[in-house]
Amino acid sequence: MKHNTTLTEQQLNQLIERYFNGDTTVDDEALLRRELAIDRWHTDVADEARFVLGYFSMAKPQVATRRASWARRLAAAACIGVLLAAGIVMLNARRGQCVAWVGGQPIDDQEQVMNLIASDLGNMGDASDELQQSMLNQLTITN
Amino acid sequence: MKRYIVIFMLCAYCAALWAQDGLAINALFDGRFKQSPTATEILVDGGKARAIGLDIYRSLTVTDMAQGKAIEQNVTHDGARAKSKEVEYRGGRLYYGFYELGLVRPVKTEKQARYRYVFYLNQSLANKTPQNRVTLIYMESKHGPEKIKQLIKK
Repeated sequence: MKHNTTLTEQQLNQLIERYFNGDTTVDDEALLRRELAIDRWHTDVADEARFVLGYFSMAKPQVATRRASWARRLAAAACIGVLLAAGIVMLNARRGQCVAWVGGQPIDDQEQVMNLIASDLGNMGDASDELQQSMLNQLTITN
Repeated sequence: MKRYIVIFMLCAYCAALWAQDGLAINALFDGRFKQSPTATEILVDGGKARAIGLDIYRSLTVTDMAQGKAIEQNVTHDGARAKSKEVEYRGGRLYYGFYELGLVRPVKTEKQARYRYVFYLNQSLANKTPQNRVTLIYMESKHGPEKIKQLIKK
């Protein structure tokens, strides 16, 4: 971006000095305000003049840009991290767990775990069959 | 913005509480038996559970009969509110139980419905080859009880 300035630094400093001495005209002050509004001038003298003239928010652009850039990068990295973590959690949830603890020992071998399940379900099936048979026997007796 | 975040977190917490729904047997799966030398705990969910027609399969088997008695108490507590049940008592003790506990949570459509089931077996009361062994199985599935009972048929 090309800054539109008509003064050199020396001329600007002279203008500021005349302003503080009360030797500036209205046009001189308007020129000074225009020059200080341009973010090219970052000397102590220019910053002091800005302060006096009320340009409180005029910060050095390079630093502000650098800070904003880092903040945006950090925010972007954080968002990506959160999305990645959420994706991993969802992937694991979809895949599911298949784990057993036998006598305090963890077992994650899927075949072993499914064999344990089959054994338990088989025992339940035997008991259920017994119950069904008992009911049939009782119904038969009552008939 | 902060207010909305707090409200969202409160809603998420309440939703989690609703899903647990106060079943007594939930307390048995809090991890206390994972290190027990007399217990076997199994957890299967996600894709691996769906392969056998379930959303969740959790089981607990203990050989310590004092622990078995605690399991029986929790099962009978939850079973008292069962939608349907098949139970057999022997000598005043619960020998076998199959309980249909109803929906995991309220849903708007039948397609979203997930049902809870419990199986219980105390093999110390078996007629043939009794052994000190109590098994609790908790399942969640979209299937009805008839389909679930097919899982235990050989």
